[in-house]
Amino acid sequence: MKRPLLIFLYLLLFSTPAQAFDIGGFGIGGSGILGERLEQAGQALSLASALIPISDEEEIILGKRVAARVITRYGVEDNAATTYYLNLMATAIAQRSDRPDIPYHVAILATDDVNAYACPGGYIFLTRGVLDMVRDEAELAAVLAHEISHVTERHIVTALRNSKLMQVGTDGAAAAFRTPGPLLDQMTSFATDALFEGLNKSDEYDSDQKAVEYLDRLGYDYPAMFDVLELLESRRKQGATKVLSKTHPSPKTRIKKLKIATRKLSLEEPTGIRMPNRFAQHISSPEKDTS
Amino acid sequence: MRLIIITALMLGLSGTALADDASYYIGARSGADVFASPNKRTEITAHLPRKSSITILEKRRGWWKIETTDTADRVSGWVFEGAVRKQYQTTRSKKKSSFFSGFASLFRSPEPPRKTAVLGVRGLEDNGVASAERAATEQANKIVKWMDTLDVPDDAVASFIDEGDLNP
Repeated sequence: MKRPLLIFLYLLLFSTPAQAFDIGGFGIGGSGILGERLEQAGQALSLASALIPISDEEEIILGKRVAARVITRYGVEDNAATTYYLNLMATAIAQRSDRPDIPYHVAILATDDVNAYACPGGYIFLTRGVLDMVRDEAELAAVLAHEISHVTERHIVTALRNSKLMQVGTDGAAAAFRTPGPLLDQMTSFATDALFEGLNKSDEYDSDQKAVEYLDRLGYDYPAMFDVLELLESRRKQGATKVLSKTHPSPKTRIKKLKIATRKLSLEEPTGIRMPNRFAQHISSPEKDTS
Repeated sequence: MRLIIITALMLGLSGTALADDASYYIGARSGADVFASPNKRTEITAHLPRKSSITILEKRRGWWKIETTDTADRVSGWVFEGAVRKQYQTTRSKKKSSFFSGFASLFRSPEPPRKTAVLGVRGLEDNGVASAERAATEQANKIVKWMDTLDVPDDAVASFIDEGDLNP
């Protein structure tokens, strides 16, 4: 490579405003609600803050606090049998994910709204509404795999790392996790807002694609991911996905993007493994649960 | 610079001998043909069914030299990279789950609620609101702690995968 070209590339790289580094999709140009909020608030990203690490342990500390806020908002369903089934499936998926070394735990939120949440550190919530919507185990696995991938791809953590909150520097951030105080409260609020107000659209597309990959690795029929999106579209028309529709791109667009993305993946032939019977055996509503 | 690129290319294209402790298996639904050398036009020496456990001996441009580990008649040769899957193993604690015991105690109350920790603070005085919020947060924290106990044992996950005919 010629030296002038190298110099030109160097200048190009380092003269670009920091905001243009859309790490995790939360930079300027991010189309998600949180991305817009960051932009409005002038919380410009900086390359320096992007370097501040958040360890798995710190992420789990944050995740516990965010999970508590999710539980406070919706309540958790007392349904041990179904919860156990969900945790079995989540563990199986997570073991084949790109981040198998942290624990993943799932609980059911007591709301009929169709939605799911992935808190940092592996705390996953599916609503009763989404459990009642899916028709077989592969579709349920698709929902879980999508949520797990938000954790494996560290979407919320990346947004946090690039936020103004991390301008305290590495030591400041580490201290905040060691000794809970106002900064950790702010981080928790930031992460909770990201969860409730929506991630960047690109993160959702990314998680759809990862979900297909995880389903394929485990051997579930990965077209189930498309079927879930079709279901979401039909529920959206019925008005059953009001919260989800505010925080996610439209299912139609997600299907379109996912079709393009999956063409680039080297996937096995779909296995056809759907398991509607095992699903029916384990998914019970709280009224039917005898535990 | 050109020399560096050529060297890098040569390193990338040449075969890689492996000292990999991870375990692998044939993941393709139809199994995998084993070839005498890393070339589709060479002789097919064996066919391995799906889920055959294998050891990777060498990797070369989309071909993996393998040796079976789970058959009496040991097979070795070259298979397409795409037919091979890594056997994922959790590094997490293998402690037995306290799943059901923890759950029951969490929700125990004189009138066991089916739904818990839902805030119901409307109409309360200010200090009543604060105390209700505190109680809800406390209950939510307890539920998070309970979630931490939801580890499922490895053998249960293995059975779950096996019964579903999923990839081990």
